[in-house]
Amino acid sequence: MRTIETDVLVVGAGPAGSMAAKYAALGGARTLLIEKRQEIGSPVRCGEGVSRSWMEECGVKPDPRWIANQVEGARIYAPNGACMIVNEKQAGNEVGIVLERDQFDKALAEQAIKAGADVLLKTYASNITRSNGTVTGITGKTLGEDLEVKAKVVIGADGFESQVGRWAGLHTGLKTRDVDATLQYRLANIDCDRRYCDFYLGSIAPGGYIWVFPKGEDVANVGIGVQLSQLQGKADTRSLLDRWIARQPGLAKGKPLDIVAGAVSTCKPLPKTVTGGLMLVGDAARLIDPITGGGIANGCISGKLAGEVAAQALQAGDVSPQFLHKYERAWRARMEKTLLRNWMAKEKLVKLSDDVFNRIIATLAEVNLPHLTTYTLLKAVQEKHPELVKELAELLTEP
Amino acid sequence: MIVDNNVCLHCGACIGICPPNAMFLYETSTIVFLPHCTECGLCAQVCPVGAIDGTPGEPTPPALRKAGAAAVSGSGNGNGNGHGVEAAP
Ligand SMILES: Cc1cc2nc3c(=O)[nH]c(=O)nc-3n(C[C@H](O)[C@H](O)[C@H](O)COP(=O)(O)OP(=O)(O)OC[C@H]3O[C@@H](n4cnc5c(N)ncnc54)[C@H](O)[C@@H]3O)c2cc1C
Ligand code: SF4
Ligand code: SF4
Repeated sequence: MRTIETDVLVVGAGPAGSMAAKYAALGGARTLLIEKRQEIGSPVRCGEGVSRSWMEECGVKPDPRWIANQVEGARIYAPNGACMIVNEKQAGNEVGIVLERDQFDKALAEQAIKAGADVLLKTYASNITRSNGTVTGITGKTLGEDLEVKAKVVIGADGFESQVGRWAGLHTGLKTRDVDATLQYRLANIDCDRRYCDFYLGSIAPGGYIWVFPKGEDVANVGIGVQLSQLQGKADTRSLLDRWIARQPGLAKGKPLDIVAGAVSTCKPLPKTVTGGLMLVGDAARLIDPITGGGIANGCISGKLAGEVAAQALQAGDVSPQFLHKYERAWRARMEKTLLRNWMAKEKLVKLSDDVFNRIIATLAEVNLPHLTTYTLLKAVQEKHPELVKELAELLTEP
Repeated sequence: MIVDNNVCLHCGACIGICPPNAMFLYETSTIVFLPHCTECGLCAQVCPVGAIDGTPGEPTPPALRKAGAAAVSGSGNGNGNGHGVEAAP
């Protein structure tokens, strides 16, 4: 049995965990980051599409080492094939990036290490320890040896699995309509336009969408997300994707370099992400954007906020839920409104028929919106087809 | 509920949605079921590649559950709230 004492323990070295470890260490806390895989960032479990808008805030400088491709914008396809182009400026970003996620995750972990954090690989938590209702560490294994880590603050960054939080009694369970099952191939030898990330909507991917994110001239991540409540048979997700690819001449000839499965949450913000001695960040806190299914940005931002609060809590000698609640207030101030609005929009989108998607995309393809938000999009549709957005009226109340 | 490890991609989707948190990705390569699995079938439904066999109500073989508990209890210590991976009866 190996026993380690530390100030801050971060469980999971994804983007959220590395950010948390970095900012905890920068704040002067003795910080340990544990990761159950043998290699940070690998295997990749991601479509790798991300905007740049949040990077400066998190001290992340775009680096050619982890940029596979920079895109000008996104193309959103209606079920009938009509397409609407959204350039990144309209969406309020500079250019979108398709990552080398394995390199990106390693670069973030390097930042944590440089800031002074310690790292243990092939080390997992299998339970938490508690005293008087406060989380005091974890038990698990490191390279096969029994491990106990005693920590003043634990940060749960264990991704979609989100077990650390549930062991501590935080409710991170999901309704079946708030989860998308996902599958993706990295296809080589295909025809794709590296200038755009493509999104395909409609019954080809019930309650979700199909994406094609180009990594280069003839390689792209081609994946699907399907709402769990709309899945029936075994391996439905795979059949839907395989059938769709087979019908795309430019893609059907491709062969896979890898296959990636997973799930993303599309829920509204959780009521509670903090308890005595424990904060949840990133996917573990269900901070994924309910419309896009993207979680890297919110993961990094929440990781940073939690790392900072952990360091402050140690300096104040107060790891009570009241003190750690500062973190929860901070992430809510930063992203809760958008998450909630996008969740409400998602709730409506998942019910739209192919016909309605066709009409909405046709309308939006005609108007040229200078600035794209859920609000401006809906407003534009409302002007032409008020009947289509009747259902969405509540989202149109304030800009 | 049975996981076919020849098909499983170890993505953790099943673990994240399991309502009673009764699964564990052990050593990043083996999914195990814990005794408090309720046989709801959600893990089989979410699995993108169909690696889990079992319909709602179909019992997880007791041997598998026991193996699951044993696999993770070595390090568990019973301090959790019953949703953790400490050895169960
Ligand atoms: C198919 C797919 C495509 C996606 N595409 C995109 C996209 O294009 N853009 C985007 O922004 N987001 C995308 N996402 C979501 C994105 O991958 C996540 O939001 C992001 O990885 C969240 O980061 P995280 O640090 O919270 O969790 P993760 O990156 O999942 O990291 C969690 C880490 O914790 C480790 N861990 C788990 N349990 C334990 C334990 N008990 N002990 C020790 N370590 C543990 C895991 O091994 C893992 O390394 C996609 C997701 C999927 C599944
Ligand atoms: S969802 Fe399927 S592929 Fe993913 S870990 Fe579970 S059994 Fe394996
Ligand atoms: S059947 Fe239900 S309770 Fe049992 S492991 Fe699967 S999801 Fe969890």
